Amino acid sequence: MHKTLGRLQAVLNEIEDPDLNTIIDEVFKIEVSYRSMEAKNFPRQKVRDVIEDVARVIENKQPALTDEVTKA
Amino acid sequence: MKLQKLELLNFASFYGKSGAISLKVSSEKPLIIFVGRTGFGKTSLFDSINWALYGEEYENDLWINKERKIEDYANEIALREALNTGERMEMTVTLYFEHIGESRGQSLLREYYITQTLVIKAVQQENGILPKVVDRQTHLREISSGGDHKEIEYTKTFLDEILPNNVKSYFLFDGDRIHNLAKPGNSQQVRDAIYRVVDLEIIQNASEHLNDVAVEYNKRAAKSATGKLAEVEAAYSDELTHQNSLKRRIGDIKKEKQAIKDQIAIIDQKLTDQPESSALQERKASLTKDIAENESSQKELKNLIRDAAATTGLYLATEAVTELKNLLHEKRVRGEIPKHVRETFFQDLFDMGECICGTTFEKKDNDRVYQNLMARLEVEKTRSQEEDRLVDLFHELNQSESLIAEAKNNLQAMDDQLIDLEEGNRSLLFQKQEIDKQLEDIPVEDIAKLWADRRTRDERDKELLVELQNKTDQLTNSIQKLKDLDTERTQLTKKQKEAENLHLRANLAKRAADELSAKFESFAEQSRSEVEQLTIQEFKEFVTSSSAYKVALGKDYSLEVMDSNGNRALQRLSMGQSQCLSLSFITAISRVSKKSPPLVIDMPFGRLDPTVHAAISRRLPKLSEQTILFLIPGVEWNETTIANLFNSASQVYEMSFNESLRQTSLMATK
Repeated sequence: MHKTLGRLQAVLNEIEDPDLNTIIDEVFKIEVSYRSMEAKNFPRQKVRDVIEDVARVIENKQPALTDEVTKA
Repeated sequence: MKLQKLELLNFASFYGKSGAISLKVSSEKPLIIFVGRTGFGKTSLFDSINWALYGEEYENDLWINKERKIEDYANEIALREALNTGERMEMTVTLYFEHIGESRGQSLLREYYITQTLVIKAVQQENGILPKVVDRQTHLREISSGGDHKEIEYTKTFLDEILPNNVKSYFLFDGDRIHNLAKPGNSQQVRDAIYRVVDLEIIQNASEHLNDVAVEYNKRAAKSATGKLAEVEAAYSDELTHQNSLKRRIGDIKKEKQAIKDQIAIIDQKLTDQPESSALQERKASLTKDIAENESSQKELKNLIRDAAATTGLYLATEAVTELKNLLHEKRVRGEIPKHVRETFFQDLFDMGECICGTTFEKKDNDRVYQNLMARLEVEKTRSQEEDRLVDLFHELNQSESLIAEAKNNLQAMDDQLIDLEEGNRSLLFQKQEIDKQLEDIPVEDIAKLWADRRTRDERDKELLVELQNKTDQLTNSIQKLKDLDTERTQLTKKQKEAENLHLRANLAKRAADELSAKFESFAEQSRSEVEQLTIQEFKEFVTSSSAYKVALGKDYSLEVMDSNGNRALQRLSMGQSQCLSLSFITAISRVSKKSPPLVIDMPFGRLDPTVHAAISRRLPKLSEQTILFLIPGVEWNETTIANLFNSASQVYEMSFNESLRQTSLMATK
């Protein structure tokens, strides 16, 4: 099934920070997929995975920046 | 989503294979109509569509709402045959539908079908044959453009993306019940409908789940930290948990307050309906309106007074102004102002070459008299400017004095007006209290009980208001405290790598949650406003006499209707008008949600007066791209409705029921 955000896209468009935009986009998709699930059964691990992915991208960028500064 | 066709096997009164029941519609003819008498199987067809889509979840609904199990729908003849032959019987419903999804920004129409199957064993019991489920299967398949049928795993998540179970009751519903949405005391239900259908719930849940994840990361960071950082981490983690619980409690309080408001509205409605109290209730409603108007006028007046107060504040200087003015006046009388000799006078002397004492002089720098006169002129020039300023000041003081007097009089007038309003309000409140007392004293047990209930709820509401204020204050403090702790731990964290990594994650989750939280209010308000406008528009289309009513969707999501005098009229709407308002509201949320779900309505005219049949039937074809109706001949399928619906229907099925075979058959009449 291809996920559609519908009206939520309007909210997403207002999130300017690219990292937060990625997180919210992915979390919206999870929420849409599990919207009728009871709160206690909600797959929170999937939200953690989204945060983990974005955090790793940020961490991977950081050493490169440090190296460039060192070289300079 | 559009439903395409339905196939039944041994379901309810449909014995054997029903054959394909087409549900296809065109844009010009968006209706599918089933016409059948009570007991002919209309509601079974309605249930079959629901069961096909939602399977076991719908079975739970069936049990809760009708105390029926799905195996109770096993066809009687098929069950008897199964008992006689000792074989198992199958009961199956297959629903075909299409849905437009998105892939890489492209809209794609896809076809699916869901089959629900029960394998049933017939067991003879004293009071009849008991259907016992021995197996069950659910299949979801996609039909490719090439005609292949691809099996897809059937999960709740599949329909959550098309028409979620917690939303379906607003699109697949019993017409007899839907008018309740437009009854007093149902704002919670209206709010739930908006929250779920237009996706406010998704934003709120996303924000909460991100906050929960932030708390988890913070707890882990607290465990991995040592020394001073560990202390700050623990404090931060505690504060964040506390803040989240405050937010939840504030949400719960708001919900409880809303529920109490609804309960009070229902009690008030009951009290109004009591013949012993109706006159008093009407008087009370009128007083309540007057009090609200009075309070609004007071508020406006207080704003005006606040603006005027700035000018009137100068009144404090009146004494000093008057004294100064008197002083200047006395000086003028004494001829001290102006006292200086004007420059023109000196020019005349210079031109004549003679001083006023008679001494002649020459306009030369070495002439002593000329030098003295020039020196005197310079002195007089300075004095002249000062005295001119004094004259101007005298005039300004005069103007200020009248301005201050005018502002003081205005303020006094407004103050008097405010006192009148406050006195008036006190009198209105007193009258209202008197009516409350009289209402409480009416010696009818029901009324006394209703009043006791109302008082209890009022008290609880007040308690909640205080708690809400406390919690909101605590939340403000907590937000500030958390910021301070965050600054402190950021400085300490730089020394600890693992804690730093966890902080990055916690901060990302929290910032994302905060962003959503910040966007939520405006998105919610925009959605509410859109739903309100479309409901008003649709209600006008439904009810030609609607111009007498003003429909509004309050900030608290209560549907309100005002009559031409501005009085609340929701409780006075007829069942037909309530039905129209509910349908208008459902159409509005469906359009705002942009989900275009089909409408499936069992008995849309229900017990409505035939006079509203025309209004509703005229509008039904325009509500959705696909609307499936189940109607009773005569009561609902009559001259008026046929005239309005028949030409907009792609299919009209007449249902017949063979009493001896206990079997339903369908005949397409178009």
